[in-house]
Amino acid sequence: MANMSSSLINSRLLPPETIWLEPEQIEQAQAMSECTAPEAHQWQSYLNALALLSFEQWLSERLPEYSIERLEKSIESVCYIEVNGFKFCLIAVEQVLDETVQIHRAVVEPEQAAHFYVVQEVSEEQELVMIRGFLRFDELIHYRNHYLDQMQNDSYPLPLSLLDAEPNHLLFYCRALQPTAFALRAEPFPSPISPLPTEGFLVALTQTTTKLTQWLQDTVDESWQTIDQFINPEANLAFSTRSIEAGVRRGKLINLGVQFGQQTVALLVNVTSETEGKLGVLVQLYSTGEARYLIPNLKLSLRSSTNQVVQEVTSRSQDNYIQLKPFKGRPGTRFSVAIHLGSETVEENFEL
Amino acid sequence: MVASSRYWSMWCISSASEKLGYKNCLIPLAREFVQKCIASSQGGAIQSTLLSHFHTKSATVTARIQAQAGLCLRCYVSASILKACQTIDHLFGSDKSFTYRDLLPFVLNDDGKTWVILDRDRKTQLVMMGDEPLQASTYPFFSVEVLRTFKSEAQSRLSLDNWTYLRTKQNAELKQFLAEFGFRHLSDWALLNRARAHQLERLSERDRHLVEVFHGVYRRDRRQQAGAKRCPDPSTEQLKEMLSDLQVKNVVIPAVGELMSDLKNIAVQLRQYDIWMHRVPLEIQDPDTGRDTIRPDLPHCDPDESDLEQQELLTFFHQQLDLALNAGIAQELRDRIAALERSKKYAPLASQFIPGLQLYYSQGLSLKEIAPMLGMSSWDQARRVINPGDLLSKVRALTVQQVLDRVLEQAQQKGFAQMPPEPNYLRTLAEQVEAIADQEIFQAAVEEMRAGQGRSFNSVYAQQLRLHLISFMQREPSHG
Repeated sequence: MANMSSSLINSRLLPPETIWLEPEQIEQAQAMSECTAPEAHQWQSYLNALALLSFEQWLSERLPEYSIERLEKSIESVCYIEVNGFKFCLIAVEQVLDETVQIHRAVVEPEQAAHFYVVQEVSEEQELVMIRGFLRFDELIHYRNHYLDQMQNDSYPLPLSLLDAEPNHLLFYCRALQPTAFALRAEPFPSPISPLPTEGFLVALTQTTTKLTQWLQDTVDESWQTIDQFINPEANLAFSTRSIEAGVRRGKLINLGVQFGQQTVALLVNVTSETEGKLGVLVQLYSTGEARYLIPNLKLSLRSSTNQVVQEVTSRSQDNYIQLKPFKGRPGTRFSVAIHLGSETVEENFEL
Repeated sequence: MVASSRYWSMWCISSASEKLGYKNCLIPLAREFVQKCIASSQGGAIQSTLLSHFHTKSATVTARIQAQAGLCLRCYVSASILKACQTIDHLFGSDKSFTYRDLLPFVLNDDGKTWVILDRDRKTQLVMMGDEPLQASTYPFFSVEVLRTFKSEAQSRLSLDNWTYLRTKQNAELKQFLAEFGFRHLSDWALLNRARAHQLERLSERDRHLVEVFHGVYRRDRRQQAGAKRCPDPSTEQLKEMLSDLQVKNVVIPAVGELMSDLKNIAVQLRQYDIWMHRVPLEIQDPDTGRDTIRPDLPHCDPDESDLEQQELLTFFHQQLDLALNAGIAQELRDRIAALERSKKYAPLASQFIPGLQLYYSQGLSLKEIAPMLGMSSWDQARRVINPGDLLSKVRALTVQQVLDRVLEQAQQKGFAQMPPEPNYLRTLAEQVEAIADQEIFQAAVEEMRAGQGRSFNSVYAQQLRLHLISFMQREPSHG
């Protein structure tokens, strides 16, 4: 059974979360949807009201410690509430048999943006509302930027399978995260975070993640230099490259700062293409310049995506280089390499 | 990487395991074939090797190899077929008159016992029986049909999983069944009410006008009828108003009787599953390469083998699970009683909640049988008051929440996770906790609840719940 659930689509053990409507809620929804708008809009507002009332009930039973506040809205087709600083945009539909949900373009605009977009199916005749799933703002934007931006319509078609079908995750997010966990700012294209050089000891490398798969496609960020660039009188490197097979090799110079006589070390990364679509990585740290040896007790470490130290190596008194044991991984795997000296650390993030 | 067991275990229909309607069968021949002949290919290559054997036109690949490769692939698609039926079930929502079990006979009709290959033109299923000459199959397997029509060579092809899903949804018999039973729980008028632009596009222009006019009148009045249950037939006044609205649109219908039957005819069309099913391709064009790629949101499995630290956490949350289940049941029983007592409508029945559950879980009675015993007026009332499904769902949420809290605490202490955690980290962790909680506790609880008549409740969940019910009744005799 375990095999079954892990290999298949978006499945939730239980049928979608269902909320039975009570007559009072139906009356309330009727009152809320009374207005002079055309009939098609009024029907939608009626459905929205039913979705809103049932979602409020569902949420209040599960998060009794927080109060729910209804927010003013400027888009007819949706409702907004706020809970513990998180904004929810509630989208009511009548069926999902076509496995897509149309949502209005404007719901991701700054004034209308919400942390979560919750899709509910209102089955009016059966007096029930089902929570079909939800999407986080950042996920919606990601999907839009990659797949929808060329669309000119008023609404985005979202595949139902894109949604997180487990509404309990909303509760977990509300409890464990801060509303600032993802910024409600829709940037048209993700822009790389620019490096922030810091004063003092060990200049921070960059905040970006270096994608090693791209190296094999000849795309290398210019902050990573070819070995040739290091071979000059100032950077007198004598790299031990015996163990390095074919692949792409790049390096970065790191200044250890005044405390250590401005000594510069070179972080070298060698990437090879291995079997099974994996990549092989060798990370080395060399002394450069006039220093023949690395400063003792300079530590090089490898951390997994969850920040667990996987490998560690420390320089001894006469090491001209240290290296991590070569490792392999699948494209997409993240890791970071850090250099530690005393209580200071500088870290570089990678993705295979 | 080890080849997935999907290539040698087949999901077959099973009347014996009535609860689920299906079972998983190991096909030793398929396993042997994958392990001996295909083991050198890795990951995704296993599938393409199998496909190239099965679809081969080369004379060097023997019929025997073709059939064995086919068997492995039939195993593989059986999981997707089963999943497709469950997905369709979920898509139709609650309270309908069929379940995925009714769909299985149309599409999950392979038992893996027959050797089948395709003819060179890839038109016919041929059955292999020992040394006898090949024979055209009289009972084509749907799984083989899926494979027969799958264009594995095409550059921009669908994944086999998605192809299977699409084919299952378009299976003629299954669609026929859904046309008959899929919308049985909805009146013609509710079907017309819920029809949107996408569905109207498939109707004739005249019919579209009829639906628009119907919406204008009927939906408006529907909202005015407080707490109306099943949608009634439109009244003569409503039909007359629709007729005059239609005249404005230059649609002339002489009498209300005729309009009524026209509307019913549209409802018949709306009962076709096709009208609701949007043919959005399951794969999309990658803007960078212009090639079709699998939609990123569709299933993909990437078990992260390297995450040793996650393994450590897993052990920890196994230990937490039982504790959390107990606490979850206790809390939810208290909350439910409190909520019922607060409710205007159900307060008088609050004291029947515990005895109702007791009858359901200890004596295996159905809600229909329980309702009169506890002075409830209907099955619907019993369902709303006792609601064992909702209880299970909430206990599951509470259990997962509690384990998740503890695991997250641990992860943060050990420096695996940030504080507060990354949203994606939190979700991955939640999914892992859910997977284990479902596997150890809730899967069995859901299955026994789905079993109909004569079911007995033996799951860990049911046992724990019964203990709580007993202590509840001893502590608060008013609930007994």
